[in-house]
Amino acid sequence: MQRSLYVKKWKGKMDNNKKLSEGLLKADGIDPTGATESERIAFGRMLDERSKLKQSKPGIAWPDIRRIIMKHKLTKLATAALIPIAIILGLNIIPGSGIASVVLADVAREIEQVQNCVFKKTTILSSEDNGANSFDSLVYYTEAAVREDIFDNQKITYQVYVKFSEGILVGVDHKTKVFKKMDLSDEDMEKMSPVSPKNIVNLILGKGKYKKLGRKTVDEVLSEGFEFEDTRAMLSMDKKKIENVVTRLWVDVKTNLPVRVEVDCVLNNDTKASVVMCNPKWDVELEPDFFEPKIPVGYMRPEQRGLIGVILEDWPTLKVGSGTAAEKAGVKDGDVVLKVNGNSISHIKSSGDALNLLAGKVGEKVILTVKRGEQIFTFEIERVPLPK
Amino acid sequence: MEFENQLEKIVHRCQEGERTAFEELFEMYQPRLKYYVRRLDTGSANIDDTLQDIWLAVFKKIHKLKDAQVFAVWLYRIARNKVYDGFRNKDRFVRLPEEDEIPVSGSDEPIFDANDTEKLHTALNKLKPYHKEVLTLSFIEQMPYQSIADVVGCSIGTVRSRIFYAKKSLREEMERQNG
Repeated sequence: MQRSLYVKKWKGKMDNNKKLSEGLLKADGIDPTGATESERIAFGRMLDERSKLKQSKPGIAWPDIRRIIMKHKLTKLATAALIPIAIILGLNIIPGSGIASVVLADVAREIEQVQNCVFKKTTILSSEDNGANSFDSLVYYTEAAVREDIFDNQKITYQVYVKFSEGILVGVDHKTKVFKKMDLSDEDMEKMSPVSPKNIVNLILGKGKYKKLGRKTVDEVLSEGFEFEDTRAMLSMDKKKIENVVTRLWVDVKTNLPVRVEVDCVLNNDTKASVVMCNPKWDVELEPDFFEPKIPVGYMRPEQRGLIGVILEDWPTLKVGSGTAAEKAGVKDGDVVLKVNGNSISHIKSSGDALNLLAGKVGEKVILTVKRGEQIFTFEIERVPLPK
Repeated sequence: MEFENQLEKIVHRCQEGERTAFEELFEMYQPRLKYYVRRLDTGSANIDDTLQDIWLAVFKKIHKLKDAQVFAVWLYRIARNKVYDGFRNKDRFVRLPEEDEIPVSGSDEPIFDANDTEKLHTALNKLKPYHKEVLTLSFIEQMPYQSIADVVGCSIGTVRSRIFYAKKSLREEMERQNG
């Protein structure tokens, strides 16, 4: 952080009063010339968070929503990762006082008072078949609701809202402009209940076993680490097999509040999942409105999403599925796309982006301009629902 | 008045939401603010949290500050409220005793030597909380009595007499250390 010229000038003005002031500060172990590095970092984070909260409050209409079974992969993963939030809130209330520097009664009281928190989360999934994938998100937590914003290149690409009071979960996919709402059954709610601090305390009370990892500096904070194994620290909404769940918790030795939580596990025998939650901020002011799912105008329910029936793996060269709208309109294997709806496609590099361009509301038409040999054809194709 | 003008500019930049201005303000005030908060709150382990809370409140409310000249008073009043909020939560907030206002002439007040700050600091910590507070504001911010009265929320007369007795106690405490 650059000090202003002004501060330097001001420091230069030293009369007896200034000397007295500086002397007192020094006697108390305070550097009178400025903040400490860790204070600067904490302050910077606070500024970061406040500006993020301000930006992410779009005023968007909220259309009618019906019950939909959610099948989106990312939503499941995001949901699966919601559970370790609870650990941040509750795990440091470990009975038996294994931690000399932690006054458990104080911690318990403070945790009771925590109304909400915000933290950063990174999820890394790796498997031999699919390689490694990672996504970053910001999680906003209260006892009544959770919101997770998943980022790609600093843009929100996916959002998950969970409202425990109403028993609903809403996923909004900004890439495909699809939203899904799911009613949580009592069973789902039961499974998600460890998210409340009270329940996670019970989880730990029931377990009571942990390994000490000693002290180290984590995210620039001197912390004490604890490791424990319990499958319930990780949750899967879609009955994925979860094994080898290892959770590491790092607690600030000064404040007794968690600094970082790391959860590693294996999903379905083949995928290694690693979730890191860090930079928690406690009792950040969040208005209830912030947890209302916001779905931009024009977003579709999954069954409203239609396709024209082309295979895009060699984009911009097409393959045509048999019996599809594209085939009926006259598109043939090997046609090379030049334009979509009259617009150049030079910026569409991946087949995923191409899919998002061609897919859209059922019943709407796509105008496809293609090159076949030396000839150019234009087709008007109506999007049809995905085959079940 | 260079200091006041510069401060006013920084506060205005903060009010326009300029990040670097907040950082400058933080650099300027954090050390003395920390000294003050530590004097008010000697028992709590979470002084860093309190300081964070104070700065968060500054960030959220600075647009409401009408007169940038009174920034310091405003800041220390927020700090004082945050510390006492913490006390209320912990049931250890004790009401200050009401004091009689006495006429005190400025020339009678002892002067403290800037070369002896170690002892001054130790002696200051031994004073009664309400004496400690007014002297801290006077020593570290060179705040005029009216400003201290605005921070503490009492009359200027009370501040004057409180500082008089505080300095007397401080002098006695330092003599005790020497002797």
